[in-house]
Amino acid sequence: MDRLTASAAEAAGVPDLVRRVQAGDREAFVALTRLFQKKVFAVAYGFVRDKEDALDLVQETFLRLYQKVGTYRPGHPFEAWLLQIARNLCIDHYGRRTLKQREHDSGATVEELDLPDTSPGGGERSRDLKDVLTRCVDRLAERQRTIFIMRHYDQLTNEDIAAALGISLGTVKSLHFKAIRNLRALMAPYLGWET
Amino acid sequence: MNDCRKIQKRLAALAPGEADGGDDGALERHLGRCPECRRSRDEIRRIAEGAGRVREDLSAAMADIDWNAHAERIADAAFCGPRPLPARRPSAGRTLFVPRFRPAMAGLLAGIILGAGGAFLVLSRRPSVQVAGTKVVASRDFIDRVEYQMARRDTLDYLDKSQYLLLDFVQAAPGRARLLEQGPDAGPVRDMLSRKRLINGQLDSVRMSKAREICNQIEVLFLELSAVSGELSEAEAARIKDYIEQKQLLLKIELLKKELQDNEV
Repeated sequence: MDRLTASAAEAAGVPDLVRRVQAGDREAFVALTRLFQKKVFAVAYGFVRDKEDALDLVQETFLRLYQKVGTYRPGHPFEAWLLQIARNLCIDHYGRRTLKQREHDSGATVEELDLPDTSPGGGERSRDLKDVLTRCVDRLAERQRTIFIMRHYDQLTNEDIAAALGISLGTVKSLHFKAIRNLRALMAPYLGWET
Repeated sequence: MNDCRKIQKRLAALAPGEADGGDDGALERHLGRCPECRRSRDEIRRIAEGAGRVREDLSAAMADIDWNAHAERIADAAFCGPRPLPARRPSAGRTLFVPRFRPAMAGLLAGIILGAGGAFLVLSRRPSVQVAGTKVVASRDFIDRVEYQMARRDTLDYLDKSQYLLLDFVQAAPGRARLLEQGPDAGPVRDMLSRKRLINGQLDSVRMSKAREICNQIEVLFLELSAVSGELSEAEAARIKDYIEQKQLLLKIELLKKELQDNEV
């Protein structure tokens, strides 16, 4: 996954591309999309873990960007603004999906869903670590989930996450620690960890 | 235990894939002797491992996507829809709220709030009085000033008339003092007693205390002499004159009049 740092974005002429998009330049919009679509896809995939849903969210994010590009303030970090749009759409999508899932499951809790065997003696090897992790990530509070996804799935640094979410570095570290602590507690019953 | 909390925070803060502690000697030494923190490290390592598998899925999902075509499709969808909102120029109001002006704006806001609070406190201590039956509203100070001026003028008028009567009596030739005679000629005395009753209320204020004292002496004189029946004998007239001179009533009246006139607004 290629990562675009702020300096690289500057070198790519992002502010100029944004100005051209504001003026209605289609080619500039395509260039901007090519520049950031993989990063947006990574964020979206972390939330939905479905390729088609993630691609839909990427498209929705850039359509929303195009509609709102007139409100973009020059000098504000563009990438942070774009990821904020993506994150909001992902949260909306996640909320709708969770609601549908709850209706489908008739109120079943996560423990009652099709998680791997948790009976004594089942053993950790019989369980899909990735599946347990993703389901437990879904149960984290919104900001903890967002930071865990950006940190571990998208491999962003704490500084990048702080800039993207518009929060302090200390808050990112604190929320990440809480996410890890809660994940350990949530995953323990399924992986045979001591609590 | 405190060390363990710090170690577990450090373990959680390590970048994905580095949950083994790297080359941090202190961390390694603690993990070597603390089974609880080793267990934490193993669990965090498993979380990082699970996240790594999600990343593998992500890479696999991204591998077969035609990103150029996808960007073109998004652009087609965007440019066939409604035009974007026009670029917004930063307004003067928005410029004031940029981060570097926020301390000044906060100070200004605090000043406005404190000023408004101070004005409220000052004004709320000067209650207004609404005059019954009208819609005129005046402050208590204004009402006090008006009442004082009315009392001052009524008292001056009373003193003027008293002085005139007393002077007339004092300067009259022996046997011709008619001031306090009974009958129709005693009318001015009764009139003065009535006037005194009218201004009694006004004289009750602190600022009119000196005037009240002198006016009361005059009233006592008029009351005693109005009770005298028949014609005033020369001896009685002389006694009254002595009383007026002894009390220096005329001098006091003159001084009080001057003082009240000086206070005219």
